[in-house]
Amino acid sequence: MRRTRADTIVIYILTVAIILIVVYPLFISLNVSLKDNRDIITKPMALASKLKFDNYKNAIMKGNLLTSYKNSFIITGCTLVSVIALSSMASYIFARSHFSFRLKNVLFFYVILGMMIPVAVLLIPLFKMLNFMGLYNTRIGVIMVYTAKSIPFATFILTDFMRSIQADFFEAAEMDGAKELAKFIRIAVPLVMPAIATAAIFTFRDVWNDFFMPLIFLRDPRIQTLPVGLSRFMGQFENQWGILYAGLNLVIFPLLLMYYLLSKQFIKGLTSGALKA
Amino acid sequence: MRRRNGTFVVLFLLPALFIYSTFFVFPIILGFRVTFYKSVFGFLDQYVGWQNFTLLFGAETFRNQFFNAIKNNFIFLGISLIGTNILGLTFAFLFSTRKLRGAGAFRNILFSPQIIPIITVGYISSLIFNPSLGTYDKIAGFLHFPDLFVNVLGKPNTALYTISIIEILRLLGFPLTIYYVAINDIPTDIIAASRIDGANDFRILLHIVLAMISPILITTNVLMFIGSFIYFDLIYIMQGYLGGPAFSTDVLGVFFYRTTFGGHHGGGDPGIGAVISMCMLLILAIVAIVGMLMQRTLRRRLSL
Repeated sequence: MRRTRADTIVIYILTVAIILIVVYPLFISLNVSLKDNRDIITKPMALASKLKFDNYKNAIMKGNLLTSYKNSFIITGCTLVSVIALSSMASYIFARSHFSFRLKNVLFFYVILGMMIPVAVLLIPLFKMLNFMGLYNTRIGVIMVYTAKSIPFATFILTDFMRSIQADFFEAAEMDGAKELAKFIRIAVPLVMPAIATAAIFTFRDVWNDFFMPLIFLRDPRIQTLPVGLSRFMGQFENQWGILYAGLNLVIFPLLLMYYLLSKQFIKGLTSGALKA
Repeated sequence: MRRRNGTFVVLFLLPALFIYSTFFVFPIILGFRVTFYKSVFGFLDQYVGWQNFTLLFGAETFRNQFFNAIKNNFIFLGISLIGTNILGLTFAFLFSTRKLRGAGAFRNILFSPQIIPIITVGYISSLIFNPSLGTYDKIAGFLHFPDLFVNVLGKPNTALYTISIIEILRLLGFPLTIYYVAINDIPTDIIAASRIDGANDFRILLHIVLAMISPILITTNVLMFIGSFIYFDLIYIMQGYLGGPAFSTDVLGVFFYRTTFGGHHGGGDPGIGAVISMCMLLILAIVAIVGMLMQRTLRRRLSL
């Protein structure tokens, strides 16, 4: 019953071991990006002797990563705005019991079901559809698919939060003569901000990091997103290890920085989402 | 009153339903139709009946690759799910029942691989396991590992296991975070009472914690299964579109990509690809339904 000190020490040793295994790759990637190619091949294990940022300069100047960044911002941004707008509107209808109509629950289930299906199984029909609509190889086509795919989870979590808003809030607003639109904008949306943040974080992560869909639907290098841009970059600088990993770090570290700044919100969002599912 | 509400409902519901139905549900239905057509991207389709099915299940090259990919898929999923569950549960349990310090930082670090693109994990892993430049083979040489454990990504009998272990480390933060919160929610007096009854940690974990969080356990695993079932990025980057060496890391996602879109020189067959994706959809549906049923019975039993 008494916790022995040895016990705790063993746990900490295991913990540190796992952390080292997870953090080491980041260290390696940084280290390689600061060395020149000869050092990498002749002394692969050595630490970078001095901080040289030539590789980063080359990666930015010669690669196409900035364009990819721009496209990722456009595509992820548009998807986020449309998912949040559409899902919170739909959730308001699903959550408020005074909107009652036949098949409301069936409709809700129909939307939620999409959480169970990965987009990869839809790629071929999507390809044909986007081609037919003239949206193949365009940003707008990909934004549409991302929006459609993200609506189920966002609607699920937003509806859940909106259901838990106390009716008093709405009744008080009704006394003041608020119409539905006003109740939605002034009461429902501000009160579910945490859920909106959760939905936004998850949508951001899935869309920003997706590789499969842009690989197939965005063939034009001028509109491709960061993961595909990075894979082309890796092909372009084959065997120039320093530049390769400088480019890689330019993709990873901004994300990691953002994550550590937002990690509280991120973890809260993740757990509130998953524990309710 | 009712009519005004009606317009509002339609205006608020329709946009989401329209986009979702057009770009997500309709393609599923269209997907069934594509399985019966011979098609080349951008050209006219031709109805061929069940030919795509007979090719996939009948023609030896396709059939062998397909069943090989299914086998690899389940080995990969099995190892990574079992590994993340054991490690995730153990650490979540130890950290929450002992109220150890640093749990938050530990969790944050382990979660961080989840927020970077999978392909970046692939590129760095390739570097670490690179036989001439990488750390792994340096350590293996220094410690005189047996030949089996050298150049593990280049050999058919070790490549898939290595990939699975990398995936365990990448994924671990997700179940760990959820289990940690779930175990923290268990009333402390239940665990304290069983300690007084003389139960040790292992029994508490097995008989109390596992039972209390079993619905969450199932949800998490169904989510992880769906998330990793069509696995592509890591293997495509590290082992190529053939799932090398000798198809030993060929999983359904990679096989699907190769069959549908062809290799670097093109020549894919979307019709057969569509049949593969319908098979994947079927397996996923079964898993989702089984998971839902299990969860329902468990919830009912727990509430008794």
